[in-house]
Amino acid sequence: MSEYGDIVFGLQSGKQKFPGFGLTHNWVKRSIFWELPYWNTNLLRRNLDVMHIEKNEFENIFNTVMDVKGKTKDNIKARLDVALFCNRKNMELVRDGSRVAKLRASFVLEKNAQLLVYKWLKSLRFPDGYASNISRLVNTEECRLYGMKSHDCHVFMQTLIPLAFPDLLPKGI
Amino acid sequence: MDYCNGVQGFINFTTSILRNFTHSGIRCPCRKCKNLKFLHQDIATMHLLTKRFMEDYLCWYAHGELFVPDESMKEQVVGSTSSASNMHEVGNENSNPYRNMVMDAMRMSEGNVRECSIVEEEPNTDAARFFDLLKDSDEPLWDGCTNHNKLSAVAHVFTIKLDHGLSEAGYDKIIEWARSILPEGNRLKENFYTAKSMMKPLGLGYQKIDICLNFCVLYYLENAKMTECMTCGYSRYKPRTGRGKTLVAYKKLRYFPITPRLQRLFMSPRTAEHMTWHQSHHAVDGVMVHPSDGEAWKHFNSVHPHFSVELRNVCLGLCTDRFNPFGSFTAPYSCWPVILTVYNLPLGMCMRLEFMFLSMVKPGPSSPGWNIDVCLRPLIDELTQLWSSRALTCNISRKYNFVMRAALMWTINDFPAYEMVSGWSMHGKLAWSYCMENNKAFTLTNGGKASFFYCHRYLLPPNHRYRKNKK
Repeated sequence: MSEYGDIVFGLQSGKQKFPGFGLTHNWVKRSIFWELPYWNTNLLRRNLDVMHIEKNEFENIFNTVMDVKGKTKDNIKARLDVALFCNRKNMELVRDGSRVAKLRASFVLEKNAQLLVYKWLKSLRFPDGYASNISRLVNTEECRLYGMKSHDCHVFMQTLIPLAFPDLLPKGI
Repeated sequence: MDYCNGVQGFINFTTSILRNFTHSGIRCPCRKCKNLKFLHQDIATMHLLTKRFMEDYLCWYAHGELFVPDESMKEQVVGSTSSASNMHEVGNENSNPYRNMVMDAMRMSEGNVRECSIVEEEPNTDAARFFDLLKDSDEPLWDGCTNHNKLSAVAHVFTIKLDHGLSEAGYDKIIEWARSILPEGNRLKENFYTAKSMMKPLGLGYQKIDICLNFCVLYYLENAKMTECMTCGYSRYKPRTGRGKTLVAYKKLRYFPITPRLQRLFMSPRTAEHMTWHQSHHAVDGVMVHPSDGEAWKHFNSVHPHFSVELRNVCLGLCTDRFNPFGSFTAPYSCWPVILTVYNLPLGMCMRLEFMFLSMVKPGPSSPGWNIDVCLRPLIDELTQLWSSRALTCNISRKYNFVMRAALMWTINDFPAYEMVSGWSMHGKLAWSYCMENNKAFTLTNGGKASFFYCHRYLLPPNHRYRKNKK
C-alpha cells in the first residue's frame, strides 16, 4: 500500500484513485489502522457483522420464494442473464409472438401456498422476549412483511424457514 | 528527636512500597493534608515535622501497612455493603460509601493527568471540585438528618431518573415537590442543572474536537489553531451573528477518551475480578466459546508474548456503523458512532451495554466515506499510546497498581463500513478481498452488476463431491 502514497482527505478533493484500481487491486486508501504498531501481526483484522448480512440474506430468500413484487431477485433481467450464462432451459423467458412470459420457477411458492404461509405467520406466538410479535408485522392483504428487525430475521432464518418451506417446496431445493 | 526518627522511619517505610507512589509523590498524613494530598516525600517530611501526624493515624493503612480493624470498626464494616467494605481496606478511613466513591474518582483522575496527555485541565481547579464534593458527602441533607447527605440524595434521584427515563422537566417537578415537604433549610439541589454540575467531576468527560465540514482535517493537536481548512479552504467557524463573542464551529466530533474508562473497570471490585477471564477460563479443545479460544487470538499472543504475559492487559474490538438518530423516514442523516468492546470480560458480560464503550460520535448529516480516517485520528493516537507508553492503573480486586496496556484485536462492520474502514473497495469485480485480483468475476450483461457465479467451487478440495454436481 505504501508504494501508492497517501491520498488527500476531504469530500471536496474529488475521486482520487491509485494506479491499477479495479484491475489489480481495489485499494482506495491506506487505512489509519495500519499506524497501530501491532496491526500487521493480527491474523483477523476485519470481521463482518453477521446479523446485518443475515438480515439481507433473509430478505432476499423470503422475497424471492414468496415472489414479492419489486423485491424478488428472480426478475426479468436475471432471467435474461440466465439465458446467457447458464444452461437452464426451464428458467428462460418464453416468447410467444410479441408477448414474453416469465414462468414460475420451481423455488417460488404458488399463490395459495403463499397465503397459507402468511396465515400461519399471522397466528404465530412466541415466548416472551424471544422475538418481536411477528404476527403483527404480517400484512396479508399486500402479502408482505413489514418492520422486521435483524433479530427477528435471525429467528425466522433459524427456526421458521426450516418449518415453513420444506413441505411446500419441491424436494431438492 | 525521637519524633524526627519516627518520621524518617515512616518515610522509609512508605517509599519502600511501590504502590504508594503516584505522579506527584506520596499521601501526606499530616494534620492539614489528612492523606488527601499527594506530595513529594521531602515536602511530606516537612509537613510531618511542622504539623505532626493527623489524629488517630496509628496504623498506616493508607501507606501499605496491613489494616487490622478493631472491634468498633468491625461493626461498621459488617453494617456497610460489601463493595464499601472492599474499598474500606484500600485506604479510606471513612465508612461513608459516597465519600469512598468520591475518593476513588479522585485517585483515578489524578493518575490521568499524568498518563493521558489529552486531558489538559488544571489539576488545581480539578482538585478544588473534588474537595467540594467531599464536603458535600459529609454535609447532612438537613440539620439533624442521619441517613442522607447532600451527595447521596442527588445520586439517588439521578438513579431514579435514569432507570425510568424521566425527563428533565419531570426531575425538576419532583425536586420542587420534595423540597416543599423537606424541613426548612434543606440542602437538596434545586434543579437538574445545578445537580448535574455538582455530579460532573464524578463522571468521565468527553472532548469536542472541531472538524472540517468536508472531513478534510481535524482541528486537533498541531492543527488546533487553524481557522480554515488547508485543503478545501472552508472556514472552521460559522459567521458571527449579533454580538456573541464565542466562535461556533460548523461541525464537532465528540471524542470519549478510552483510557479512563478502561481504568474504571479495574477500579470497581465487581468488574476488576472478571478482567482476566479471557485467559483464565477453562477452554475445551475444539470448542470456541469466546474469541480468545480462536486461532487469531492465540497467534496474537504468541507474536506478542510481552503483552499476553500480563493477563490484565485489555483486548478491544471496534465496531462502527451508520446510524440515523431521527428515524429512517426523515431526511437522511448519517452519524457514525464508534464503539469499543472489551473482550477480557466473560461471555455474559462482554456484550452487555454497560461494557461497550462509545468512543466517538462523528456528526452528520453527510457520510464521511473514506475520510472516516480523519475522524479516527484521536482514537488511533490513544490506542498507540496505550500499546507503548501504558497507563498506570489501580487494581482494586488485587489491591495494587499495575501498568495497563491495550490492543485492538479487530474491527467489526457491515460491508459498506468495511470499505470505509479497511480501504478495500467493496464494489466491482475485486470486491472479494480474499482472492483479490485472482477471481473470475464478470459483469452481468443485463443486471449490470459484478457476479461471482461459478467462482466458488475452486475453493473446494480437489475431490469434493460438489465439484461433480452438475445440477
